[in-house]
Order: sequence, then C-alpha cells, then structure tokens
Amino acid sequence: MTDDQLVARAQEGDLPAFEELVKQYQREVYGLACRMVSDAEEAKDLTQQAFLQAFVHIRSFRRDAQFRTWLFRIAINQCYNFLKGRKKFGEPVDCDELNLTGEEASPEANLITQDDRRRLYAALERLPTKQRAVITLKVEQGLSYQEISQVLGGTAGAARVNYCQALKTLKKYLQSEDNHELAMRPAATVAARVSRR
Amino acid sequence: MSWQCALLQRWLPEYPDGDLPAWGKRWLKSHVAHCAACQRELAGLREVMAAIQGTPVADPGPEFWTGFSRDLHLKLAQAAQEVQTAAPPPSRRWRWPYLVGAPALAVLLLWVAGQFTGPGTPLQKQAHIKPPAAPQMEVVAKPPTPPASGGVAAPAGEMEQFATVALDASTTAPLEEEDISGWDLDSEVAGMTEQQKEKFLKKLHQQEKDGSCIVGFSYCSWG
Repeated sequence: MTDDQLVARAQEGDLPAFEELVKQYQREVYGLACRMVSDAEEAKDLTQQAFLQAFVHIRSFRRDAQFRTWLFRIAINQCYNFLKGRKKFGEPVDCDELNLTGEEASPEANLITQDDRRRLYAALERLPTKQRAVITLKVEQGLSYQEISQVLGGTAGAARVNYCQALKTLKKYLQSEDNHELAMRPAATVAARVSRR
Repeated sequence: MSWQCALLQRWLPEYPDGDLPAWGKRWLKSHVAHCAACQRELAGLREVMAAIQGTPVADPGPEFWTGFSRDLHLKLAQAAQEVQTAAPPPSRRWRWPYLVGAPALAVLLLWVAGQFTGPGTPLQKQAHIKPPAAPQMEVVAKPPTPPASGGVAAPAGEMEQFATVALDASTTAPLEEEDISGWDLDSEVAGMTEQQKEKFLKKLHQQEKDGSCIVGFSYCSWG
C-alpha cells in the first residue's frame, strides 16, 4: 500500500494504517530528533510526540506536500520547542549518552568512532538550530532544497545558503575541536587520529 | 579571496552537481581547477560531509523499537478514543436556523427598543436628561421714579435704568447659583415704590419658600 493510500485511510481514523506509516518513518524521525537534541531518551520522546501530533492533526494534512516532509516539519517543531525549553532552563547536554552503533570490529576502532561521534555532536551542538536542521535534512535524510524549504519554511535558495553556511561553520568548529584536543589530549590519541587521516 | 571565490563558494557543497545552470557549472569547474583557495575550501567541506555521513545515528536495536511501538500504540489509542468521544462539530445542515434566527432576533430587539422610546425622539429626552438652558433673563427698563422720602437716596444716573432679574416661574431651567454676597438689598429696593418693593419682597419670600433662593447664605439661586 502506498503512502497516499495509508494517509487517506488514517485520515478516516484507521489506526492500523497510521501505525504502518509510523513503522515506515520512525527511524528517520528518530535520527532527525537525535541530531537535533543530541539526547537519545529525549529523541525517543520527541519522536513519539511528533507521531502523536501527526495522528491528531492528520485530517488537516492537505496532501499538497509529501507526508514525509509534513512529518519532518512536525518533528522539527517538536525539537525546536524542546530546545527552547532546554535553553530556558539550562539543562546540560551529555553527548556520551547517545547510543553507539557498537558494530566496529575492534575495541580500538570502536573507541575512535565514539570519539568522532562525540566531536561531531559537540560541533553540531554549537550550530544554530536551523543550520543543524538543514544539515541533517540534507546530508542524512537526503531532502532536496525545495523539500527543506517546505519543512523549515522560506525558499529553496535560502535553504541552500543556510546549508552552505552550516557546512562552513561546522568545518570551523570541528577544526577548533581538533585544536582543543591537541592541547588537552595525550599525544598517542591525537597521533592515532592524525595517522588515520 | 576574490569576488569570484565568494560568489562561487556558495555552490561548492554541491560541486560538481547542484542547481546551477550549465554555464554556471562550467564556470565553477574552471574556477576550482585554477583556484587553490576554493580547492582547499572544497576539500574541507567534503571532509565535513564525510564526517556526518560516516557517523550515522545508531540504530538502538529491535528491543528499543518494540518498546517504542508499544508505548506509541497506547498513546495513539488513547488519542483516537479522545477524538471519537469529543463532541463532533455541528453539521452544516443544522446551522441555517441559527443563521436566520440571529438577524431576526436582532431586528425584533431593535423594534422593541423603538416602541419603548418612540421614533424620532431625541436621545436626550429618551434618557430623561434635560438639556441645560440658560436662565431666562429679561431686561426691564424701569421708569424713572421720584426719590422716596426717608429712603436711601440712590444716585440719579444709576437709578434711571437698572436691570431687574425677572423671575419666570414657568422656566424649568436648572438652578444656577449666583454669588450675590455683594448685593445690598437696601440699594436694590431704594428706587422702588412701596408697591414695587412689597411685590419684590413677596416674590423673594416666595422663592425662599420654594427653596430656589437661599437666604442666610452668601449664595442665592435664581430660577
């Protein structure tokens, strides 16, 4: 059954049809939420909230966009609200809480992946929320600029400029993380990373 | 960095694809081939993209998704129940009595209000508020009278003509207080004949009884 058919049935109140849509998109929405809030538990809650909101408001979905982009928009809004609250109450973010793949061959490789992930999340955390969303939607979800503009608002050109700016800023932050590590980490760890590159 | 670099680096993240027109792609390609700064920028951006793609969000495993689906199913079922139990929006078919009835009721109320007040009645009268009217004053030219014997002689020039406040009993104008503390009753009645004086004092007493003239205070009100 296609997305359109499932959406049409869900709009008539068919819960199993909506749960079929949930199964299709739960990983993507969870991944988006993880990148946005850098917290696995919160990402799970936000994903559930996004699906719940989508179910409650599915009758207002006019099908002039894809269901996927509409769902991403709801998820992004949930993340924005969460981040606003976290900024207000100043909760700390622990990037190490994120689940790791654990599929690396050796513990050493696993450690390197963990380290890369930590660096990436630390750099992403410093990005403005909108740029973080653009990067995630473009690089991970593979959305076009037109679709990104549907999710985040604005135009496709603005989405492209945002994406370019986000990549540049992220590059700068990753470099500053490297420089910070060179100053703080033991020489062996840094040497391993340098040799890996 | 030249202006060309600043302009073309916007399209570097998508290089060599992207939404540039064909001539733009050719321009970008030839520029990147010769510009060392843009080559460095391109390499840096590709490294960042590779870093993001190389560290995907980990799949939390089947147990996580089982729990996730169970929790979400409960929430969705509850939401579906709430949606069903919530009052359905009134159907359009039953809206027309309200759409017709509301204007009819408004017209009826206006008509009733018109019956009570009467058409064309000024609003001030409807509200039983009398407009303030200026006290009717009449200037009466007093005929010259011979000076009364034994009375206080008033100057002839002043006595020839003086204003008398005519108290019009039919006037319904509100009371206006006037300071007559400086008035001298003797000088007022000096030029009057006995008959006029008696009449004037009688009127004054009458006003005192009515309450429109307060004697004993420094203020007097003339109706």
